[in-house]
Amino acid sequence: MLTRTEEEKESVRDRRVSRLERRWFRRTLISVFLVFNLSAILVCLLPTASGINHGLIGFFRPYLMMTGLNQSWQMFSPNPDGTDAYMSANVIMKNGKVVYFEYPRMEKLGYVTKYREERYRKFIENARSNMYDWQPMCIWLAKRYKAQQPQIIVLSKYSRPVPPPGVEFGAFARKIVYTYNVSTGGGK
Amino acid sequence: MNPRRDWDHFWFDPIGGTSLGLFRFFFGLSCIIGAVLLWPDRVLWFTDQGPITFAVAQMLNALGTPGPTPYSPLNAHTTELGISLFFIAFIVASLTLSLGFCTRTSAILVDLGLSALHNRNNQIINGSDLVFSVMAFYLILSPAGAVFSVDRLIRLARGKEPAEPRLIVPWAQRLMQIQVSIIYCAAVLSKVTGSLWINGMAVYYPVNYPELQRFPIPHLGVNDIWLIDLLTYGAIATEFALVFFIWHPRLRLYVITAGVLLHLGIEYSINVPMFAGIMIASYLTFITDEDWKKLKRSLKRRFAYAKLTVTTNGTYRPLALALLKRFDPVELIQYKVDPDWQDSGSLVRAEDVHGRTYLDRLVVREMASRIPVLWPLRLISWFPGGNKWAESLERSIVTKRPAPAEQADVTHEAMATNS
Repeated sequence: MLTRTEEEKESVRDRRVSRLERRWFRRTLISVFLVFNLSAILVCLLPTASGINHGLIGFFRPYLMMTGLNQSWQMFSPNPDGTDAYMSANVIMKNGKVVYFEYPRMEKLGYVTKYREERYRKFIENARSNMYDWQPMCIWLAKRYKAQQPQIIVLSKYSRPVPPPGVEFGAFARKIVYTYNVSTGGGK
Repeated sequence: MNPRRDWDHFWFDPIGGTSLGLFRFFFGLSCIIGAVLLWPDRVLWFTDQGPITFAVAQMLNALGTPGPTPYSPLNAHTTELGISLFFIAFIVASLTLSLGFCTRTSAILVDLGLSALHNRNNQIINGSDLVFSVMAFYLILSPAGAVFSVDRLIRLARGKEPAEPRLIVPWAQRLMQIQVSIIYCAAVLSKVTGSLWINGMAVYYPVNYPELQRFPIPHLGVNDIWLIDLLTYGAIATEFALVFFIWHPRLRLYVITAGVLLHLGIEYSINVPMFAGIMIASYLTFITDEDWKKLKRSLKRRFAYAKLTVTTNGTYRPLALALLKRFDPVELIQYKVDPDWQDSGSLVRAEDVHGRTYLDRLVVREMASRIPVLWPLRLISWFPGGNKWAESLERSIVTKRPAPAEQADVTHEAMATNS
């Protein structure tokens, strides 16, 4: 019959203790990470006006950005967007000809196309309020119509409120948001 | 109550990997669909040929998030060919992640790919992109290849893993679950400050916004304010339940059902691609081993009439047997070895519960009917040459009986895999 010597038994005990210690050490390390990770997400989600967010977000932000955990979940809140809007541009060529360009509007697309091109809607939703998008949108149009020698690009926003139940949609109101001079590269 | 013990129990007590494996599969699949949808506009959105050039993207990133600038390898030098290759690599990585091949490496590549796309153009990303980004990071940390994966089949073939899938330490899966609740918690907290959500009219606006609308919801007009109220408060109540009640064992499945209905409703009425799919897939992380066992028992009862007993007088190939059993979770097919059975040239036979007997390639046809991933084989069998496929498949499942010396070992191996 095989029996273990005292030395072997000691060795087995040592290995078991070492395994437990390793497991304990690993769990502790993971626990520290879990607390750090959840704290980072909670701080990120707190209102920017809160003291905790203001004080700690600088510490957590590199981690959040690096891991893609930077997040915000305001889906249709605090209130859903009540404005029906789209954007278009008038591209005025050197010869005086005007070309009307409309960024894709989902309501004019078929079910399949609008599913695929939803990114345009998101882009326009951002561009409606983000003035930093306007010049790039005009520059892109200038490149697109380069062959026809564009001179001035007038970017417009059309909007109307989504009416409450029982009320018909009104007419779109046009607002010129940006005028871009292709030859000087300036705009306002 | 022992906080230390409860902490360890919640984060570290091993659980089955079925839910995580399924989530990984659907996550990878969703990444592929997302990339395919973006493919036609890849040059417009992710190169300097579009409106958001690299310089503009960097400025917008800096405006949106002060601090370190998010990195994207898709820079000003990215060409049309470059972005096409990037998308192809991303789709391949998503496919291998979905199948669970080199799972962790695939998850890292998918996560890097998603970050690269989001950081290159943050003007087109929506809620579903954020969910993808967060879940991809957690997939890297999780043992997502433990179950339902090619990695596992390889380990089985090499004899490095038992037939029963190993349990997993669930801390990364718990992070996914908490993330799901965090999403709804943030949404509810934000919604309760909105006047339209408080007065019950909020749902009316997105579903009537022409740019966002997909299919119309009938009876959502001035005479049906009660329906608008019901949908609005129902949405908030469901989101609230997904924060708290989803953690209650008895309520979990009801809350998940409500969440699925909520997202199917959103998918029907509002054009936000991929969001419903990825959120519903995320609920899989809440399904417990017990739930899967119950489902399996119920399906077994439901499909008892389709049971099939396959018997060979040769031996089963261990890998083929393991594969077949993996793809037959309801265990409709039983495999037996009967060395005493002799038939004129037949290697394998099958018998269904009605006593009907099938031989050779007909066995493959019957097996294909019962294993969902083999359904395409039934189609193939209708085309010329389809029978040859069935015969070669039959040969890859069973082999002729080896010489007596090897016989004991192989049979034993087949029986072990069977058990």
